[in-house]
Amino acid sequence: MKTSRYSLWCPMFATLLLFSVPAPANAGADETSIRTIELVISERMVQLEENSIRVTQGETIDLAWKSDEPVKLHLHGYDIEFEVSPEAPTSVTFEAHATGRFPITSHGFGGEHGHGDEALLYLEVYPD
Amino acid sequence: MPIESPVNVGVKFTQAGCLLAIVPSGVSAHGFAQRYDLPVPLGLYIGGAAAAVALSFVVIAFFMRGERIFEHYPRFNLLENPVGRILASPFLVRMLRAFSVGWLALVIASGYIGPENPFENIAPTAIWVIWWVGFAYISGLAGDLWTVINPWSALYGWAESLWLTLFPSHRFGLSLRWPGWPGRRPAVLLFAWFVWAELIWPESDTPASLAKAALIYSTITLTGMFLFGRRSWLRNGEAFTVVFGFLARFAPSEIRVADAAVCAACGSGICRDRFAGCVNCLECFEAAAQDQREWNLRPWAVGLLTSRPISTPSMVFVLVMLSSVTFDGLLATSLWADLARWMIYSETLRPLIIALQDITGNAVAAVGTIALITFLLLFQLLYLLFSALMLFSVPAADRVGISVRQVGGLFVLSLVPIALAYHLAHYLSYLAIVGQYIIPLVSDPFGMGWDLFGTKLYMVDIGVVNARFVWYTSVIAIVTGHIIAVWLAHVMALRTFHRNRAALLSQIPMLLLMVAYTMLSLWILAQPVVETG
Repeated sequence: MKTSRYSLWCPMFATLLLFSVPAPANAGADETSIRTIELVISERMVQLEENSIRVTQGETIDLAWKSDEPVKLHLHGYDIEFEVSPEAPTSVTFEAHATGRFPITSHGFGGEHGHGDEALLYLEVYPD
Repeated sequence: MPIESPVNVGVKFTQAGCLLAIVPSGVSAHGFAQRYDLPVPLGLYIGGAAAAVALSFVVIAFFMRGERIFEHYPRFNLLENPVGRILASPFLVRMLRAFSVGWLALVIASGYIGPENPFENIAPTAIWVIWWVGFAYISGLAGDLWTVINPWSALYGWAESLWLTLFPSHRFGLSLRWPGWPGRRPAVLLFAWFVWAELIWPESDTPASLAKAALIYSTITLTGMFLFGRRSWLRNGEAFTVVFGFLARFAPSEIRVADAAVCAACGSGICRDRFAGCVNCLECFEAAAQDQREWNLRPWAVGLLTSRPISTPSMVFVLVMLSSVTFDGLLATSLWADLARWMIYSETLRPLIIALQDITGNAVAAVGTIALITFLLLFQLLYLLFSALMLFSVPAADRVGISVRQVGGLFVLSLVPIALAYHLAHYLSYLAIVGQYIIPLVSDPFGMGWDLFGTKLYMVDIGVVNARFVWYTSVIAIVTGHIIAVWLAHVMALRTFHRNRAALLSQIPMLLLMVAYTMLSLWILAQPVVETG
């Protein structure tokens, strides 16, 4: 009787162990896929239908910026600051590890000393 | 279609025609104390709203089956327990008060000495996040800690003891009798000024301005205490004792005095409730003998039940509390952004805006001030209207001798759970994220490069709370607050109108008001946050 009980427990225990190990998110992928979002600034506004971009938590995001004027941009929350100009389009890559709605504000369009903190765009990171 | 940048309410200057161009007031507090909340998804919003309505009917059904005025509620006296006695020990209380006074001194000092950048100066975080939001949570969820550790009360108490030790026969202060008529009006005015500073004032994250405001408020408070007596001023003029006191009525703890004779001698004259006895009256508690004092755990929200109407200034105060919490939420919506833009460009409002913009700081603040005052007034009028509707829903025979003002004073406290739940939901992730700034700031409060506790290099973790957790907590909190509010109002109705049918009829308008208020709270949470600077 003892033998048969153990022979039942062992496979059960082993199965439980297997399920308790977290499965990798992309079981088939060898590398993390990067999601690229193209953003064009023209006449001090972002050329998009809505004023927010939506991504999922955990994704690696590449924001590819082009602008017709030199400008400093600041992604709040993640606290990433970068510059874009017509001759130097910039790509900003980061992992969206935190959920939230994060403003991207502009400073100093055209190289002037920046005023105002109007948000150009919002990055929304949704839970997966 | 290219998008427009939304109007930024807290922005240092805005252009609204050549007449209204404003000069920035100082260093831009770019990005300080922002909320990064994601809007609550539509499904959850609608689900929450449906649950609130459905559960309201469950509460009503409960009351239709019997008359329950909840005269007594279960209490557990912590002072009968050794742990409770340690927590309430004079030594610990003195330590907490010293800490509180130290905190006040730190805030004022850092405002004057430290840098103007709110990320490097402890004052803005210490006031708005740790103290204002923190104490709202503590008062509502734990108990009236503020009454115990109020720094101005502590300072005045120490000065008074010192004086009496040196000059035993001379009274400290003038102890003028508080004239009956103003009641709590000074507290209402001071609180309204505070609400304006919190929501509209463009310099609210400037350390130097905050220090000055704290100093002004301290002077007003200490002078008030000197003129009218410490307890009298605390009860009638000290805005934060009043606001945290109202929030603490929801909390599951209270101080109580068992001896009725103490209350008879109490200067407040109104501390004894017919059903609950003497609850949360500091004067009675301090005057009572040790064995007559209780520090009780109690069920949630029972402190919001009363046996008589609260005074008109108190009712106005509670309504200012409720409406300011809602207005705070509205300021972050695109609805407000659009309205503010319209107001700034409006020809009719232009003279008023020009008149106000110097006192308030800039055009956006002027517009915000107009909107705030209007909203606060509208809320008062709306509540008055619903008080009248409640009264007149009841058959004439059942409402003999009851006035609209009395109804207003009896039911206003039942709205507090909805506002408290919204406030907690609204600030949950804010407290978790911006609250972390205090960790590096305590190591270097004056921005001088110190590292007192070794936490100077601490990096704030924006991922500490997940959006889904915040969504569900928020909606569940608001629905729970709503149900509690409906329950409270029904109990008050039975206490007021006695007959079951009359009480239930009176609650039809109140239920509509509460459902609307809850829907508004949920709606605000479902709106995308528009950058407020």
